[in-house]
Amino acid sequence: MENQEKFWLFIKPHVYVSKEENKCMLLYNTQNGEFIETARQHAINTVNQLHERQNLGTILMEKKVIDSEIETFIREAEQKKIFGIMLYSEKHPRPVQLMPVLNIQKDIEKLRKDTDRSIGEDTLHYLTELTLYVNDDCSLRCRHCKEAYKQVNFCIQNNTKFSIDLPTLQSIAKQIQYAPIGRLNIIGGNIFKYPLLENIVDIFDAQKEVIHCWSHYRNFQPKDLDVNFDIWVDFPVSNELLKKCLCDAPQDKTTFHFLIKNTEDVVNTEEIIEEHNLANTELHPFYTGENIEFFEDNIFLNREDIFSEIIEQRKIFCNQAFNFHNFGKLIVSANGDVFANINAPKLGNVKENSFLELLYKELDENTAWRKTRTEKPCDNCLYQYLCPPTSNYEFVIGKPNLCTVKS
Amino acid sequence: MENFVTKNDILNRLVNLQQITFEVTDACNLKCEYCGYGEFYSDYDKRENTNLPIEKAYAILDYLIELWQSEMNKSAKKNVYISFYGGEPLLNVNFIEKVIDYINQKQILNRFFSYSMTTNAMLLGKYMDFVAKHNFGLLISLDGDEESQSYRVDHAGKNSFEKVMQNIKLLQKTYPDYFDKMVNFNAVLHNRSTYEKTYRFIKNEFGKMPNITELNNMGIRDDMKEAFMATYRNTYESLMQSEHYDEIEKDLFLKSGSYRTVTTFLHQYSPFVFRDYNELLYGKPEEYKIPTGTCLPFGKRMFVTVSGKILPCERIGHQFAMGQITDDNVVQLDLEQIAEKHNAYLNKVCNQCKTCKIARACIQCIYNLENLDGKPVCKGYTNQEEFEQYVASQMAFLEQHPEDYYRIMEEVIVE
Repeated sequence: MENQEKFWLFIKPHVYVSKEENKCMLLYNTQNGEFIETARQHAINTVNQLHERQNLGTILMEKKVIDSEIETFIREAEQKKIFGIMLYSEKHPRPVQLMPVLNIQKDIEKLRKDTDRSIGEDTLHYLTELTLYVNDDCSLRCRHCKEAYKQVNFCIQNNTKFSIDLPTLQSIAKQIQYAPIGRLNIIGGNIFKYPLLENIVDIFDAQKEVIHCWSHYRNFQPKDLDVNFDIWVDFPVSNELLKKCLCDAPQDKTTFHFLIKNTEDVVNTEEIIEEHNLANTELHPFYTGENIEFFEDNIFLNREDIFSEIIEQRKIFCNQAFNFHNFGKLIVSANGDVFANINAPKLGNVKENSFLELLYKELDENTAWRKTRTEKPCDNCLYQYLCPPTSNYEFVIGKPNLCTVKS
Repeated sequence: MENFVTKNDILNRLVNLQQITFEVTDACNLKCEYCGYGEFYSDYDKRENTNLPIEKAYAILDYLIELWQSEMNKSAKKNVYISFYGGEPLLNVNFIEKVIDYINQKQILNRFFSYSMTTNAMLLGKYMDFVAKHNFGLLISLDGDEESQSYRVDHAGKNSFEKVMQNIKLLQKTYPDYFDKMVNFNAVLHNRSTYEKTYRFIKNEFGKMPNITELNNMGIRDDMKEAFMATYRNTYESLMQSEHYDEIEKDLFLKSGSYRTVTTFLHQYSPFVFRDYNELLYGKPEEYKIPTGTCLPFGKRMFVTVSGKILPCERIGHQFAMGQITDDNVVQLDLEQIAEKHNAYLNKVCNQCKTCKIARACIQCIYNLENLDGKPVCKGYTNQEEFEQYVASQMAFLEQHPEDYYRIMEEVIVE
């Protein structure tokens, strides 16, 4: 750059650019995690020029018109592999870049605009996880029963005596047999009170490898079922019942899920894992309505958290296109009502609507699958699509951003 | 032998079939000198002025409707194109009406049907009410001005230009909205026309961008090769010789070879193009798997010939029929056998494809390779140096047309 009059400046295709009202800008290298955050107008103007469509990521610069401030910016960006520089020569073509424009061929809004196409094409192809609340009958009186299922795959207790009957179950199995389901959750109530539990594997033959039966540890009963088990443990724990459950559950096919309210629960969980040498465990924070400090300390993201690991371009695209917590998932409640997320409006009922209709409705109305961070304050945040999409925690806490970046 | 395609892959394609094309009749009221079913070619069934029996159409529709309504169907709503081809399809309107009535009676909830037709327009004046009423997507074969149209002659050898133009103008005047939305033109380039002349004529007369194609160079009779070459004109070369080729190309966009090529390049090599949400979420398949650019059988369409042969496309020789509808109206499609035969062909070239650098963006249909029953050699085989030239030429095109990069990435759907 020092000795040449003219050079091509180009922005590399793997660089994600975000601007906050054109006053502040983030340049993020999705390959090495390096970034520049700047509010300097000349830097923003340079990137705006690179982003002009006719430039395709490349502008010709003359050294004599560059001031020292912009030179410093370009140098830093070059060092971080955000910009590239090529000496100008009439012999060499302009180094145009394939700019990072997300192109989903079957994007719903694209299909909507095309009169020859339908958003209903291949809808079953998107169903990758199904959760069936087969009953809501349970004799336990867990303290947070009415709240936990809104945050995690926790069991529910309504005692309405609703349960999914055999014809409905068979109908569901028939409809989803060709769907690429990677996980079929069977959950209650107390699933061991469900009379068809032992028929589940036969009924869902096409998904038999991916069936996960969920139970509270106090409800767990040994059964000769060739499925995966997911067992909830909440605190305080009944040691006697937990030991019995640990003894009865097939260790190689069981994951223990701990519902965590505070740091004491974390400590207790670690003790249980160590004492019983548990291999498959997951910890799930639980918002009680009274433990926001625990969430602020442990769950809320700050700027350092966001940049703590390299965020790939594809991940950013995902955050722009859909909500990966929800996408591809449907939940069927014991009365047959269907949701794309347990906190989202009902899509329909399995007794009245086919799965194709329900999937179509979700793709069309977007109750949950394509909810991205487009609401305030995230809509005007530099890190809008670097952050993971909103989860159930945001919903139950009643705050759209669990972070300390924006108040 | 490698199994690139399975019986279930083919079944899945039939369940999700996008288009079925009926060769309504092999009769034609023109006798175009370069006709794909004419004296240049040897790879088609003999033309005998016969019509496709309606019962055979009902049989294949019943076969497909059963699949579309089965549990294997993955679409809540999907458009299916019912296309009519010939010969000249308007010589057998009775057949077309019966197919439309039959589909309407069936009330297939998860499918919408659109109708389309390729016509020489000789009978368009007579049937324009019919085509407009059913909102047919109409592809009119018109090579351009009177001289350009001069290979498209009637059985007495008279140029069809005057009659065809009269009919098209009448349709445009009577149904202007329909004409605007649903009518398109296909022009065959030859030694009496040029790309620019054809483009200008159709644009000026009708305000449309024609699809300008070449004569099919497959299946040429040995004794007609010289005559064929005298008639043939290459579209790319003719376009490049145009005075305003850049303007024409830009105007034609995806109807021009350069834009189609750069679109394929971006779709195959850009890390920012994803087939659907699942591919974005779970990642693209790492390896290119199936040799050549051949569609999976019935991946794009099904073509039923006038004699009831079932082909995956109207653009391949009739000797590659994959099934048939028998004279007692039974659909014979042995998917196992189709997969086996298809795999056998693919295996003949797969070693070439494994080292071909452009394999990902290949557009070569195996059924259009010469000497397929012997030892076919792909003329499109690309080594590293050629591939680098290909990439450089695509990037050079984008450098010249930077805003079209965004147009392709944001608007074009090819999947």
